Amino acid sequence: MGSLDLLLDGFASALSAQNLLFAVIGVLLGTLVGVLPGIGPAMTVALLLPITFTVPPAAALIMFAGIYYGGMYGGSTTSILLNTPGESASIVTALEGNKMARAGRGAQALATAALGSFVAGTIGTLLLSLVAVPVATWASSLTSADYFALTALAFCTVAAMLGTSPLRGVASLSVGLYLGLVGIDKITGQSRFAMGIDELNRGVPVVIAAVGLFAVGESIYVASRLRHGPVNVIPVGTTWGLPKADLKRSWKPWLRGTFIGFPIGAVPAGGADVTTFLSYATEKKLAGKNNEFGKGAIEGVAGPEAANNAAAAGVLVPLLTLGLPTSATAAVMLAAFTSYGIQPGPLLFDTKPELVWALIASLYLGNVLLLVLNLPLAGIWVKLLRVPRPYLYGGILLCASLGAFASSQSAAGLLVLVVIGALGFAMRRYGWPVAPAVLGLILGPVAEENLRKALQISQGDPGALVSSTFSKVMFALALLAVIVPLILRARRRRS
Amino acid sequence: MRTRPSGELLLVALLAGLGAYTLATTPSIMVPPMAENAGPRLFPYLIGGLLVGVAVLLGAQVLRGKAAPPEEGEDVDPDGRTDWRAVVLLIVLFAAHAVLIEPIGWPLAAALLFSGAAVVLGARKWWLIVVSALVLAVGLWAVFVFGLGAYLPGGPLQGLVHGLA
Repeated sequence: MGSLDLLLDGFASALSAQNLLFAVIGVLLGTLVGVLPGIGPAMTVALLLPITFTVPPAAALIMFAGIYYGGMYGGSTTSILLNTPGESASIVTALEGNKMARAGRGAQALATAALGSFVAGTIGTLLLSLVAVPVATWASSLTSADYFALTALAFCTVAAMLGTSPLRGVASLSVGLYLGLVGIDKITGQSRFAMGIDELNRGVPVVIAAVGLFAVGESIYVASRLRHGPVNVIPVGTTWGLPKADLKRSWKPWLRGTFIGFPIGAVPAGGADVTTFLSYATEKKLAGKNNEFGKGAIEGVAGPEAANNAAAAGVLVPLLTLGLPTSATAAVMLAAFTSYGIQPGPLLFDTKPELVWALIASLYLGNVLLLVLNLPLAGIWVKLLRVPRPYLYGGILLCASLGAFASSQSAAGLLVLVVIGALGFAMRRYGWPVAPAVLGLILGPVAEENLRKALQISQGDPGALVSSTFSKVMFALALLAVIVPLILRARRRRS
Repeated sequence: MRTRPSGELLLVALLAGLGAYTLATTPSIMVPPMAENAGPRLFPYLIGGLLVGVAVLLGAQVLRGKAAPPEEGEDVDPDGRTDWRAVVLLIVLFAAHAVLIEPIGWPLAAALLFSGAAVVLGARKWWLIVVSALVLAVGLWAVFVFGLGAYLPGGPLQGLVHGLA
């Protein structure tokens, strides 16, 4: 059967009444949680993950697709409408979107974000369905040494590109790598670093680590420096579309954002954050001198939003075909797939074609649902932003407990959650990015297994690690990812 | 100018301690005879070395007074001081919640966690705190247990529901 037939089968499965319902629930829940301030896409996925454990794998994947895109979109609503003094540069959409909203053009900002997400998400998913099978076929020829080189590249880019201090990124990564060591060694069956605690032999559960670092850590951190006083939400009307003039200014940034976002999302290069910055910079440059940038330029919302969603689709390429997550959100998704009994990697398209294609079909579907539901529902999301913060963070903690208990079934799991949560707080407090820790936890064991397999085949000769052209290229890129930022920073300091 | 050492040193010390622990315990991992090259000790040595190395470099940075800006967020006051009381109270609350789940059931333990956290963060309307805590906790519990078939100990509520049925 060709890919198209399989995709059509996927649509048939995704469009059944029951699965359609799961898709709608997924999109609604994803957006609902994603809209809440302080909750990024990785945290949305981690918090909602346990809900999907209770339904059959196909339905879980379909719901998950909705949660993924919903969480991505929800975040942009927050940054456009929350009037936060002292701009946070970490959310690029907020730079222009917030200014548009203050100038009374909040509805247009939301609309260009929603339409741009739809366009980019759809093109991104289309590209994903086109390249997935060829990439998976090519990937099945990769050796253990090649895989190890790929993980090395992912480690270097993640540590170097996330956060303001690369050394702190490496510190976070190494904490994650350590957590990944805990438990029974997959190859020899030896117990490592379990400190005699039987439950630790199964390793540190990814869901607990992710919920702890993101949800619990973030809540404690916000509690430690809560902005008191009334919540300042910019009022916005319901919108059904985009005026012609705005549409004319938006469609090119959407497309440019898509073609910046997808490829960068698809290679291990730091995930979605980098792409939004790149798209923003591109649009600003193209706008020339007489532009509205800094005063609420719609291009500055349209481009980064599209780039963000296209990258979200791009990230799925290495995740599904190689089993390699390249962003924290993807790392949590990998944990989800494994718990459904699905092992992403080159063989996935051969062993479980019906599930993968149902997932891809529901990504298309999720995009449509997102657009249909979100333009009219914008008003409700705005109300959600007004929830008083004490109740909001109380609720997040409650959901964290629910999710962690549902997945670990023990109070001991919750105690591990608090410890990891406290660590997440401390890391945020001193500016250590937390995403590398989650990636380290998930990718560490993958890196170890491939490193050891490669060395066993070569009988201990480390030269085998760089014997193929592919691994040479990967290691070279990894080296560049570390050196280039160092040089750039040294230059900046001199000037 | 920084007059007192940054608390980040504690975090760095933790990192170094983790690295030292890793390097110290790795030799006690059993190596099966077949796995002599690239056995179960190789990667722990690498990670232990990485942990110690990063801790040394980062420690030097911190001692020279170089700090990274704390994470930003929509609800974070960039000029605020760290409220350690809130941090400790939330951690204690969550730990207490974890311990209480088995004896009093998830809904009640969760209601306590929610209302406690809300009070720590500055909520003062008692009736609103109590009502929203109970509605949220019992509602979520009911959805998960009866709607999704998940296992969440109900405590006294379980008996109540069975009594009604």
